[in-house]
Amino acid sequence: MSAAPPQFEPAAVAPPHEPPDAVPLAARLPAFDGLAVDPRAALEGSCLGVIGAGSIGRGVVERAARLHIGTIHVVDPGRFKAESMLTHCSLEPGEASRGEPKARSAAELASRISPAIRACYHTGPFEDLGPAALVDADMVVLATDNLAAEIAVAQHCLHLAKPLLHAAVYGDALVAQLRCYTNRPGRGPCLRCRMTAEEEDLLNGHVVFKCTGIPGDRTVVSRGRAPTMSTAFLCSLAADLTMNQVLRSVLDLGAPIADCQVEWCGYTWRTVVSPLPDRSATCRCDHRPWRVQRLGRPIEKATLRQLVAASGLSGQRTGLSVQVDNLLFVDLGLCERCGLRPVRRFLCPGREADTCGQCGGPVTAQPFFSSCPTPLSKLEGHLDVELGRLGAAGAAGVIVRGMDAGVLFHSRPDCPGKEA
Amino acid sequence: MQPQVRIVPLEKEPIGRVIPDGGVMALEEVDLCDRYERMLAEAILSCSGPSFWRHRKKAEGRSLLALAQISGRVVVHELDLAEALRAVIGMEAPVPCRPDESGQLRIAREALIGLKYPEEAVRLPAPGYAFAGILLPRDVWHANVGWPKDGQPICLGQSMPAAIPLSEIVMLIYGALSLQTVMIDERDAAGVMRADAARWWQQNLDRIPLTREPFIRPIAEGG
Repeated sequence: MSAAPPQFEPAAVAPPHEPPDAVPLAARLPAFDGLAVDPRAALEGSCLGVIGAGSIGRGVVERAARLHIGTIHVVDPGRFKAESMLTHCSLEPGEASRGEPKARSAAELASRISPAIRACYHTGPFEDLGPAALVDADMVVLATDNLAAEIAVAQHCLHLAKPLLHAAVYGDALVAQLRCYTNRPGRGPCLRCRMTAEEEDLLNGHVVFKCTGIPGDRTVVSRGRAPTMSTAFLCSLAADLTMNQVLRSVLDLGAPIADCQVEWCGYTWRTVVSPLPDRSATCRCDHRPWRVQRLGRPIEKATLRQLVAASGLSGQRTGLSVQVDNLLFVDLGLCERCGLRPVRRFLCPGREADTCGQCGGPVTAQPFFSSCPTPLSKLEGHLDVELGRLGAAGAAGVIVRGMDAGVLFHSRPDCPGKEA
Repeated sequence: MQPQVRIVPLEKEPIGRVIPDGGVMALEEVDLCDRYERMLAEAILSCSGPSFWRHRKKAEGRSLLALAQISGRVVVHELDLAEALRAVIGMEAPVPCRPDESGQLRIAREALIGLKYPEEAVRLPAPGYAFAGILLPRDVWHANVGWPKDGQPICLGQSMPAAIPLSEIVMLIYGALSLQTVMIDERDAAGVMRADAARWWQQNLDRIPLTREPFIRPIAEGG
């Protein structure tokens, strides 16, 4: 049984559209002032993560495809509603009324616009994806109104030291906003640090989780919040501000824009740029960046001892922990006839753990005796076993974490979408 | 942490159980007994993670021990601060168990509970069942307690706010076990983990709650 985490899926060019011939980017690309790199190579060689494919995120994906950004990963668990027609760009009425998944639709739109790029999508929550999900992204665009997802993405980008562009609108005041986080190790602002008391209340106040009983499951029944009220042009403007920053960053145009907020207001007709305050010492995010190391072989062929040695953290045997994708290490399971049974392997949350060696009945993972991450001290006896034989076949990433540092090992296959 | 597979009898009250004037709001004023001091010191030796999380775990671990000490109904058997904060506690509370063949509800006097507080819970709200499971008894008959195969997770509400103190979780568990707070509407997707138990309790509303005793037991005269 493979324990592989959810992966990005390749976007198909949905019928009745036939893949058009690729239009060369140079046909319309300006000769940007101060351009010092080969723009085609830079754009086609870049990778963009887009979290949230709604009225802003969809615009970002569409514009990125027209710029021939080489790889685009789109994540959104939501589906279109009839009202999506009011704010989402390039959305056909049929797609909205059918309730199509937003992430798939955006990725397919990108593929239709620019068949040579690789557009991939995930239609579940961002939190489902493992720690190596965005390891290849050059920057990440955050365009969701889900505060929990915002925090999870911000934490992910802090660990991977990925630049984060947070796009938003405030419809009532005709404001389009872009916050740029460079996430440089050890300094700069953090999205969680800046959260206001009102946002904190929103985060906590209205979420209703489904009682599945599965450890780590964050399936939400309702968020109880009002939808974002805005106009298509304002969302589009936020997407355009974002793509301007993406282009500047990829092509190294102009003075660097770092750790600041850009706000454009339709009432005052003004743009205000202000710095974002530095991160707070009392923040509940882990600001430590991980060292990222690509393995030349599948993760499942590595042993924990090899990874710990390669991490350079093996000197501190106490305080070390290991996380394999989002898998649980299940110490004990329960056979309803025979009681607690040892399992001692990695498992996807919610899966049956084993069969009982005594009675042949099912053994189910017990949440209290399962962990993610897992202290290395609990894995003694398994340090020299290949991870694939410990239930982690198909794993994409392993984090070895010490007191003050962490190393992410990954062997994530390239996005399974179409090759450029 | 080795699994507990039997109920360990509650120990007698720590000598000189003193409830601070502020009650559960003043747990930091409680002087831990020697046993709990040692337990905390030992757990701190393996406490890992980023600094904010290490500090948080130490503080939550201490509060848990202090709450147990003043409660007169909770004993902390094990405390582990290595990654997620994990603890095994015994709680004296009426625990409804599956009715016997004659349909008579059985009530256990105490429960062994596994507590788990992950790092993520300080940043994000978490499902109400994410923090605690009843290890023993294994046949709990409660609308908000899941099946034994799932570890009998106990659902404490639709959503627990980010950074909820562990001591609050322990008091919520007492309220839930004793049915002082309970959700028995099986049509509500949030809260009910066993529809069969929920339906049984709907037919037996007169038995709710199982006790009206407060969580903190008053100190007996001369005690």
